[in-house]
Amino acid sequence: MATDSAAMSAAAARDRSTELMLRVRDGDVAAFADLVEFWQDRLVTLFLHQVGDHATAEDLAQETFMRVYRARNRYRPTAKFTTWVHTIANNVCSDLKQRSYRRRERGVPHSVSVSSSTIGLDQLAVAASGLMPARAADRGELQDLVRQAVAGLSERQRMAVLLAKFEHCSYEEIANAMGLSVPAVKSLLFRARDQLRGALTPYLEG
Amino acid sequence: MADPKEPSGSRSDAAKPPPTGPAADLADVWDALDALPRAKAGVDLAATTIQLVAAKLAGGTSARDPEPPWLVAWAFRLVIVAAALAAGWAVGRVTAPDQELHNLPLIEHLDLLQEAGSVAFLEVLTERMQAGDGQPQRWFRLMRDPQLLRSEARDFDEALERLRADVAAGDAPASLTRRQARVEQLPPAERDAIERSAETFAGLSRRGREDLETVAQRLADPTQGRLRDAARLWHVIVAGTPPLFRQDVIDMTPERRLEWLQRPAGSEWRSGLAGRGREDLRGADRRPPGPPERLSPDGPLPAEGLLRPDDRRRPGPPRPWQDRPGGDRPPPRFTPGPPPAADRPGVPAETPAPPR
Repeated sequence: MATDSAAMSAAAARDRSTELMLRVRDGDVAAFADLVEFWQDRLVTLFLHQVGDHATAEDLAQETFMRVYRARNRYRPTAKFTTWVHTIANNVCSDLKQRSYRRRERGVPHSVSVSSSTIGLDQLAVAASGLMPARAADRGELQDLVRQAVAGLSERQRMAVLLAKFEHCSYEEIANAMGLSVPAVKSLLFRARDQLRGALTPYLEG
Repeated sequence: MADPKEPSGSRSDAAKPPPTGPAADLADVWDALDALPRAKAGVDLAATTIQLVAAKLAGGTSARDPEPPWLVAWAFRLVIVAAALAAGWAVGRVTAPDQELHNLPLIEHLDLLQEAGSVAFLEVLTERMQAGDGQPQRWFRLMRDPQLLRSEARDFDEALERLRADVAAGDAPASLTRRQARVEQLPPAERDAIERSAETFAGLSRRGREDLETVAQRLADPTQGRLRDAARLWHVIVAGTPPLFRQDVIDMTPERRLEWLQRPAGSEWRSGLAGRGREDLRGADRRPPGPPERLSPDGPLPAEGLLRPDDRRRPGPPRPWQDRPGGDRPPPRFTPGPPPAADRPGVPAETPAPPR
């Protein structure tokens, strides 16, 4: 118990989310509301770029919060809360993908794009070919181009890139959240960079 | 593009340090990713999430949690039961060694504690010694080998000292860790002996285990000198009992022990032997009791010598016969046992063997 308390206090001092989560674990519902407020935009952003649909992203964020709440008694402040919630978010994405596959097997149409195949390299190629190096793309065009380039990544590559870019995660944190080794994460990011570079070359060279 | 809500603002891209980690590896595409839009959650996302949680707390179900079919419900219950059983088994496997470590002082000194039996028995024995009732009748029969009895008394004191140290060490985690390390370093034979003791201990009733713990606590208590004297005396009496009968003597209830102690010695062990087969007699002490004059308390080893081996000169309580004029003999009720039954065919044994 003493070790637990020491770890708890150390973690609480360095991470507001951890502090809130510890209060949630102790039954403080108001702290859970604060936690949702604190994390909702971040999670919706993460999921939006994973699935490409805002409503689905919100559903996934809500599912993540529910899992966080259900698992509150198992939470231990031995790791950063951010890593813990990223792990849950990754699991939520994986579960969605599996459900999506099952729906497809049963012939149920699905509107959520969860893999590169649903975005399509064709769209990406069209978007890229329309951008000549000399042409100055406006903000909207650039945003579409990058979004489609990211959508062309595999799900795991995309999650690694999003955790790195939006959540400022280190290799170790990404590895922990995705259940991978650090070399595997480096490999994912290396291949993601090559693919993104290929898709964004016209713009990057400009 | 750092999250403005992120408290660790050191990660802000505003004052950019040289890129490291994933940012360095993503290199030229890193900045391009800034074009990705940040999303804003709907205004009702937090509210609906809290409502869902409130519904869970109230025990209700939301529209997103449809009732499971009966098969799923039953499967769920079965899984819960199976998980509970598995958890119980796992907890048992995990905590059993801890419990054994907790009880290790009792397990290691199980023979000594079972021999002492109970605090009630030791207290009555102490009262009798303090009342000057004289030593138990059987004491005199043991006087034939003073060196052996002194050795037994020393062994008892050494074992008691180890018990006292183990009890004093307490049950702190560090103490348990040391116990475990010590056991792991024991020779295999000693570890086997401890495992057998642990099995015996585990087979005792809860009341039996609590009694042994009480005996251990009292014997380890430095203020309980008289109780330890009684336990030491009882130990040497048991040690002087023919090996064939020792366990029977130890297994007697406190009442039977006290009654047995008052009986004249020298006959029951032969009567017990008479009912046993040749195989049982192997290793038994076949020597008959010594002649009466060697059983005298005036022999080379006074009773107090075994009560306190390290302080044999300490005067003991006055003996009843010492008050009589010229009385340096034990009271009349002390009579030497009859001659060996083998020498008197047809004479029944006077005292039955202790019950099994």
